[in-house]
Amino acid sequence: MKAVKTAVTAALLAAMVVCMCVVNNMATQKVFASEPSWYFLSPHSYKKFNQILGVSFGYRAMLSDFEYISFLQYYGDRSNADARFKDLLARIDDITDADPHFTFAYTYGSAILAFNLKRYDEAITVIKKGLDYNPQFWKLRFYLGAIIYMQKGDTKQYVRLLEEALKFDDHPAMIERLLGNIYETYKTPDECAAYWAQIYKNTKDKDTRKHAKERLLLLISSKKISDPERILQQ
Amino acid sequence: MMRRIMAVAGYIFKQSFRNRILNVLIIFAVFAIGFSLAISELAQEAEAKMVVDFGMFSINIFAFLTLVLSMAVQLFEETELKTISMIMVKPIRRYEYMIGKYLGIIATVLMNIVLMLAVLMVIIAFRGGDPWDLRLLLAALYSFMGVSILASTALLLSMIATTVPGCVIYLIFVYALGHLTIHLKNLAALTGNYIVKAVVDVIYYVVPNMELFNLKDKIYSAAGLFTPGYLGLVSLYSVLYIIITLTITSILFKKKEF
Repeated sequence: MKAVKTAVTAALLAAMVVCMCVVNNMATQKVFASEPSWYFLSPHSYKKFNQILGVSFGYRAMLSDFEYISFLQYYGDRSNADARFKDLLARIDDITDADPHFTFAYTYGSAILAFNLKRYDEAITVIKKGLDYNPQFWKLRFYLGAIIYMQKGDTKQYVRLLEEALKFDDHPAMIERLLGNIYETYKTPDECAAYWAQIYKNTKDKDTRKHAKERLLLLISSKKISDPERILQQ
Repeated sequence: MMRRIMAVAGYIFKQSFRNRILNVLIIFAVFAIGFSLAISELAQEAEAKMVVDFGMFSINIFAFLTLVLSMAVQLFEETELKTISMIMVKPIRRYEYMIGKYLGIIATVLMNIVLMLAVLMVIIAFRGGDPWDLRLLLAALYSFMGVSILASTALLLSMIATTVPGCVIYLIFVYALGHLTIHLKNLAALTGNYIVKAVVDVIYYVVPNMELFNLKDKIYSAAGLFTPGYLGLVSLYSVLYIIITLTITSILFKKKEF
């Protein structure tokens, strides 16, 4: 009787082990299908020890946030401007290698590379990497279009695409500043003031709000605006 | 039977909360999640993501540390203070004690996770995010499932390891290896070497596949891992793994002499 009981237990256990292995495989295949090949560690991963550590202890998304902070500090450090922020692309890669889902890093990084540093090819590389992995993140196509038009010198087209990009909640704040600066080159002071007033009211970024206020005050003090009272009320 | 199991679970749960180190750990965890508010200030324009990522990481790592400490405390009391001998003379079967112990430990971990998640949700709301985001809640739930699998593995390891530090070291090793198995499988496929593949396959099937539960890294992903199909598979995997490890642990425990 005891032997039968043991045999049944062993058979049940074996069946469960087989089921568990099958389920493990099925779930793993789903993970493989949802990630790009470079998401997984490769024979070259040893070059990025932080990434291996992030993968081992399951803090990949947080690691990308720290890489992002490091990227911001690098870009904010004026001493790197002499070398035209030559490591910027590598730093964007560090962020997106750690977390390929960090879509803001693609849009923000490519916007800096294209619109501030005029390094269009690098910006397009960043956008394409983002699109390869996030094809459903269609906003990246707007940025790609805007960068290509800017590269060709077609201001009208890229301003149109940037205006479209501005409608998304998660656009980088630098797009707001960039558009304002472009408007100032060809729009009337009234139109520019109205734009900056809108940005001042709606932007989520403290620096951009400060910038919008400065531009607005400058336009008002230059006395080129027909109805400054109305703008101030806004 | 259930009454005896629940009595052991209740005892282990109370015992864990009587422990000062665990209480200090909870306070640390709450502070760590609160710290996400400060550190997110540095992540210009990605503050909400930083709060969620840092908060979820803290929940995960502190849940794991709670498990490690609970196990260490239990093992120390059983082996060094010989409390196990007192329990074994009572009318309780060994597998009932093992299941009760498991439930007590995961109840402690669950309590910690709920507390930490509540703090994180308050911070997310304060930051203007959506604290009731289904992905966030699912990520926390699957973190708990991941730690539950580790808890059953820890019990099995406590049967093999003879000392408390040994068990803790094995557990940390399993935690890291569990996150790496999926990557090792990918690497082995790239090498094309059959021996490497065979060795990696053994590790892949024996060690709990922790990366399956790592939904916290995919909260902002559009990839289809938050689907009922995937979540169902992972839940089934965790249930099967826990049943298998607890069964093996109970068999080993039955044969153990005190």
